[in-house]
Amino acid sequence: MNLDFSWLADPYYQYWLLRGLGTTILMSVLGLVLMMVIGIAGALIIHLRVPVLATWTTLFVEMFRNTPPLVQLFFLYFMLSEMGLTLTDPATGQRIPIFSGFTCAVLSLGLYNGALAIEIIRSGLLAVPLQTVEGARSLGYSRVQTFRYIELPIGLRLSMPAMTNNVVSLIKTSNQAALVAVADIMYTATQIMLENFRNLEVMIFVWVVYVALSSLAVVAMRYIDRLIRIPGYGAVA
Amino acid sequence: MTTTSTTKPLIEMRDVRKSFGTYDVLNGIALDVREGGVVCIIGPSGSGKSTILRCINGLIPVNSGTIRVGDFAVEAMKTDRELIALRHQVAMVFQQYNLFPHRTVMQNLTMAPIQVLKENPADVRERALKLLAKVRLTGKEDAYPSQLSGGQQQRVAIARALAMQPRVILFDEVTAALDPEMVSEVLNVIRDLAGEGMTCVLVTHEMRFAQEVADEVFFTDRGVIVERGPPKQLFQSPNDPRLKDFLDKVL
Amino acid sequence: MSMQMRTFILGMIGVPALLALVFLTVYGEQAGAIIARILPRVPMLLTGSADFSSLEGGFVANILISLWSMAIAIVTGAMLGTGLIARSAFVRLPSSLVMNLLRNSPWLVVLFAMLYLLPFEIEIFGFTVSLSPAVKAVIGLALPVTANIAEIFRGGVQAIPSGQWESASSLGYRRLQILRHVVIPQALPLMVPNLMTMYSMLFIGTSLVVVTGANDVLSVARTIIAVDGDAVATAIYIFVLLLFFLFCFPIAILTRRLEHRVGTSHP
Repeated sequence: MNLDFSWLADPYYQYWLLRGLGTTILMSVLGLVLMMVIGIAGALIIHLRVPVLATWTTLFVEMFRNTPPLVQLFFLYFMLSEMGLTLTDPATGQRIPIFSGFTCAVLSLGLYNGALAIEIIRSGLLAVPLQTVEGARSLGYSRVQTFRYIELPIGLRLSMPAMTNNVVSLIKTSNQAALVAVADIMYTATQIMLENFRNLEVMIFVWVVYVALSSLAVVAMRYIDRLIRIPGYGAVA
Repeated sequence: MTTTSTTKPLIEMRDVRKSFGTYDVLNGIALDVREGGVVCIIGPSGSGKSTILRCINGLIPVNSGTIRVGDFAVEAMKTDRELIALRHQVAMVFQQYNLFPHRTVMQNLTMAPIQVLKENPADVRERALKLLAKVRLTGKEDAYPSQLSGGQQQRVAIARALAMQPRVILFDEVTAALDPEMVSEVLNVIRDLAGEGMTCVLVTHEMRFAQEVADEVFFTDRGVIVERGPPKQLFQSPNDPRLKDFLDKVL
Repeated sequence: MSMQMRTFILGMIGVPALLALVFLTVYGEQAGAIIARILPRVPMLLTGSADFSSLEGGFVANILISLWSMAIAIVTGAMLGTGLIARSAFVRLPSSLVMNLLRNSPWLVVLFAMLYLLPFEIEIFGFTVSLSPAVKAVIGLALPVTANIAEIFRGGVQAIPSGQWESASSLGYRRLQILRHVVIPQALPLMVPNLMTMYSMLFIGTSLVVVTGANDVLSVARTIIAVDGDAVATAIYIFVLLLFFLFCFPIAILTRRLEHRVGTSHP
C-alpha cells in the first residue's frame, strides 16, 4: 500500500489546514469556557436546590445528555435562523443568520458538554466528605459561602479525571461543526479530499491531528491537576 | 515436644533473599519444618513474615536462596504447571479469608478439588461435609460467605484449604482481622489440626497460642531469623535484645 | 428507588413539555400549520417508509445499527480487554496502544474513514457481500466502542481485590481459570452499568451515521427538509430530539438504578 502524503507540502493546502486547525482550536477553547460556566452555574443551582431553577436545570441536563449533540447543533442552527435573527446583506440582498455556523457550534458544544460538566461537578461536590461541610457550617459559613470556599474547590479537584474525559470529548465532538459548513480542520480536510481524491491519506492525517489534540489536552489537564492538587487528597475514581 | 529426627525436614529454606525494587524484604532466611511439626513465626510488622509464607507456596518468586518443600525445589519453579503441583501439597489460609463471595460455602469447598484436581464430585462433596463438621459449621453448606460472621468465614477458609488434602497448611495472621470473641473458635480448629499431626506454619500475633501449640517459634526482624527455639525457651528466656524488646511490647 | 422514579417521571413529562414550549416559541401562530405539515412525515422518520411498510430506515435503522454495533463491540472488546490484562508485556503493550488510539479517535473521523476505506462489496468464499452504508456504519461505530468496552472490562477485573487472585492461585487455579471461575463472575455485575452507559453513548452516536449515507433518521430528516423547505426544519429536529430522548432517558434511569444497587450490594 503506497500512501501519498505529498499533498501536505502544497503551501495552498497548508494554509487551508492551518486555518482549519485554528478554527478547531478556537471553537474548542470558546466551547470549553462556556462549558465551565454552565457547568459550575448548573451544579451550584442543583446542589443548593434553588427552587424552580433547579428543576429547570435538571430538565436541561437530562435533555442534553440523552440526545445527540449533532442533532442539537442542527436544531440550534435552524432554530436561530427560523426565529428570524438574520441580517439582510445589503450587497447581495441575501439573508444571513446572525448566528453563523461557528457561533452555533460553540453554543452547541458549550450546552452539550456543559450539561455533562454539570453532572461531573455535581458528583465531585457530593464526594466532598460530609464532615468537612459540617465543619464549615458549624463555623458559621452560609450555604453559598460553604459552596464557594469549601465545596467547589474540593469538588472540582475530585472531578478532574472525569472532567478530563469531558474535555477530550468536546474536542472530538467539535468536528461535527464541519457538517454545518464551519471551516474547521474536518471541513477543510473533506474539501481537500474532493480535490485530490487522496481519501485514505487525508483521513489518516485528520485522525492523527485529533489524536494529537486530544493527547495535548490530556497532558494540559494533568498539568493543571498537579498544580491544584492538595497533598494527601486522592481523586475519586 | 521437640524431637531430634533423622529424617529430612518437610520444608527447608536456606539463605532466601527477596527484594521489591530497592526494598530488601528477606535478607537470608533459614528455616526448617519437620513433617507434622507446628511452627510459629513472630516478629514486628514489616519484618517479612507474610513474605516468607508466600515464598513457600510460590506466590512470590525469590531472588536467591533455596526453598525445598518435600521433593519440590520451589525457587526453581517458573511454570504454572510446576507451581500448581506444589500447591496441591501446600495450602494457605489468609487474614482476609478470601472466600469466593459469589459461591456458597459448599461450592467454595468443592470448586477447587473438582476443577483443579479433577476429582469425582460425589467424593468431594462427602469430604466437604465431613470437613464442615470438623470446623463445626454443619448446616451452613448453602449459605453465602456474606451471610456468615468473620470467624465462621475463616473456618470455612480453613476447611477449603483442607479440602485439597495438603501436606502443609500455611496460616497468614488468620485471626488478626477477627473480632476478639471469634478468635478462639478459629484457634480451636487450628489446635485440633495440629493435634492430628498436620504440618502447620503460622504467622501470628497470638503469643499464648504459639506458646501452647508450637513445636518451634521463629522470631524475624528486618528480613532475617534472629532467634529460634521451643516456645518456652523463646518466651521465657529470650537471648537477642530485639526479641526481648518485641516481647516486652506485645506481652 | 423513589428518587429515581421521581426523576424518571419529571424527565418523561418535563422534557417533552420543554420541547413543546420551544416549538411554540419558535413558531408562534404557525405552530398548528407546521404540525399538520410534518405529521404525515412521521412514519418516514420512524421507519424509513411512508406507510410503515418496511422497518429498515429512519429511527428503526438507528436502533438496529446500534444493536449490531454493540454486539460486535462486546465480543471484540472482551478480546481486547483480555489483552489489556495479559501478563506478558508483549501482548499488553500493543493492546494498550490500540485501545488508546481508538479511544482518542473522533467517531466522525472513524465513520468517514470507513466510508472511504471499505469497498462497496467484498468477496468471501466466492460470495459477493455488498457492504451497504448501514454495514459500514455498524463497523465504524463498533471500532471506538470496542476500545471503550475493553477499558470497562479491564476496570471491572482490576476492581476485584487481589486477595481473590491470591487465594485462587493458592488453591492451584491457573490464570485463565481464575478469570473464568472467580474474577469475571464477580466483575460482571460491576461492569453492567458501565456497559449500559456505553450502549447509550453508542446509540447517541448513531446520529453520526448520516455521513455514511445510511438511511437513518437524520438522513430522512434532511431529505424531508430538502423537500418541504427550511421552515419545517426546526420542528423536524425537535421531533428527532424527542425520539432520541424517549429512547435514551429510560436507559439512563435504569442504569442509575443498577449502579445504585451494585454499589450497595457488595460487602
